[in-house]
Amino acid sequence: MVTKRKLINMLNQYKKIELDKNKITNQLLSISELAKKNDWVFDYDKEIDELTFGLDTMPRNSFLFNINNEINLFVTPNSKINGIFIEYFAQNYIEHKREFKPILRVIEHEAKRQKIKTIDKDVIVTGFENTIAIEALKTLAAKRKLVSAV
Amino acid sequence: MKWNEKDYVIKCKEVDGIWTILEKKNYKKHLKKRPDVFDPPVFPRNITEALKSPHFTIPGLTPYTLCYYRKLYKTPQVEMFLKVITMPDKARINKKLERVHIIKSAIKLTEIKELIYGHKKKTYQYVEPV
Repeated sequence: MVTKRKLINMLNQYKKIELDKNKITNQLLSISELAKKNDWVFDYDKEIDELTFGLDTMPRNSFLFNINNEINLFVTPNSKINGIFIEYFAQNYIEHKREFKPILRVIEHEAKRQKIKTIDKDVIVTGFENTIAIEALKTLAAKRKLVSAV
Repeated sequence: MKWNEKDYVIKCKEVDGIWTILEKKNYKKHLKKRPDVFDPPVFPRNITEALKSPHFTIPGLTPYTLCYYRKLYKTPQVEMFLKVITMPDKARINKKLERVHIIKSAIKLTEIKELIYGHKKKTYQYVEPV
């Protein structure tokens, strides 16, 4: 007979997942195309300073994979990247990379559904995407395996 | 502001006895982005457990926020926490004139950024939930 305690312990078991490093790397190398193709959107909560840049609705099997102490990726168990998550975006990330301060203006305008000059927006967003990708690739290069659990 | 039972999906007292709620509109927003935290069968048990029996709490980097951390598992590579962020609701007090807190976000993370910024954590005697 399964006791309530055993049932809770069974529910608390986590499944180890090993991500495909090559697949993740290849997607990071073309992150701008990936974002454009899948209509990634910015979702920024000013009160808690959290940024999500990715699919408007994440697939039900997606989870966060921590790349380094700044960048987290939304991935699925088959190593598909669906977005980026950064905690304390303005207070921490942007403070360390002041050249990306204009991205806050882009996010603000997107939230208010205001239009800004397209060329500006594209330059800022592409620069941001590429910087994230480079940082993530640098960290991934040092890792032998990409292991997480869900 | 009047409480309407239909407007929230979690209503519980956190570890220090503060009423904490998760509004339905916020829940729907997060469900779209973080199914690993906000999808049944793990939800809402995971969040209420983190609020009622966290391993520690720590003030967030943004004003008035409080983060509840509950350790989920540890592998040789990572230590995973569920982090629930709350803040006092400016507009809501209960009948006893106590400030109600609202759940702003919840996420699974391996880093505790608040510690890097020197914030002090308050640890609790962890009690295995029944």
